Amino acid sequence: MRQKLLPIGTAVVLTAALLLFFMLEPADPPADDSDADAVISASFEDAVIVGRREGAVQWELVGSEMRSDNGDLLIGSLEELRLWRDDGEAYRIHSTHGTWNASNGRLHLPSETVIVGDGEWQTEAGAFTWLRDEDSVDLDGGVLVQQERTIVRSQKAQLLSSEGVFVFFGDIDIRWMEEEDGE
Amino acid sequence: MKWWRIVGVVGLVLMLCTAGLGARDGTMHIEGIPDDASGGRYDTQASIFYGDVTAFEGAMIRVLMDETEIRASILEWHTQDDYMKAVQGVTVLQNDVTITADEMEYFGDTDEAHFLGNVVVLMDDGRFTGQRFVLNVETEEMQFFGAFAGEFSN
Repeated sequence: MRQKLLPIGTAVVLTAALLLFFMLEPADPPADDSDADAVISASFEDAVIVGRREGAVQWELVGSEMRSDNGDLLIGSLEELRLWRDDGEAYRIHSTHGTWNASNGRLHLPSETVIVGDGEWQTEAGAFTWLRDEDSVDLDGGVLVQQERTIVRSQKAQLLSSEGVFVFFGDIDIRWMEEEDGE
Repeated sequence: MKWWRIVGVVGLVLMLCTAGLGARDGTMHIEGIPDDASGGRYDTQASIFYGDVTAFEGAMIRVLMDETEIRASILEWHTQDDYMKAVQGVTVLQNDVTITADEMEYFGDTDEAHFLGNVVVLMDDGRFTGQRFVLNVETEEMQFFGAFAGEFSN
């Protein structure tokens, strides 16, 4: 009996922690109302957080080992983050762990992060910070953007999410490779 | 010292070993940009890279392909269309030939590089100047359009 109750109890505690975290959000929502109707569901194995803007899903985070800490949601294990653009396309972000702050709309992933976008491009960065209200992503710690046979590198960059445009800071190196025969 | 001035289309075939542009392996380097400033952006939807270093003293855009080096202050590169446009301080270095111009466009479909405005082709034994110059990379044929002047040394 005790073994059966343990998973249920853990799930209840996890759900309560997430609910408590969002209950602690400031009473006044962000000006764009982007996270006002965030929906949370959690299970013993994982949790899903969905953020909406004007009714449409703006972002979705799948992870586990989450807990609240002074207004931050600490994500111990991040499986995937999806950021939707206005045109319905989504960026898929993979990393290991991070921190989400609902009050300022900032998601920080401090370790190696991979972003897969539409148009067959992929980005790797040493650190990732999504700024919800600005609809942009700051990339630091070495950035690599690859699309087909073109690779762009810089130390720092910003991704303008809705436009799919990377703005690179500091020196930039680009390499492209010859198409192979038959392509 | 001799001078020529011809109006019309003139074709010149010179011993110029040129390499292709976007279709071959290559690298581009944007150097001299402060860490907190931007000298380039890439549009993933349009597959266009745009670099502009005019705001930074001493900064430069360099494109390297085989034996060819292109320098400019502003460069736009359409990666899927194999089209490149360079403006401001355009210099192309190829073995013993140096070409400078206000503007250069490369069209991958025809394998042609078009140089526009104050074009100077400098070689070991002479130089040509004109306003419009076309280099066919594949055939190694060079053409000046309109008035141009040439000077050779012994």
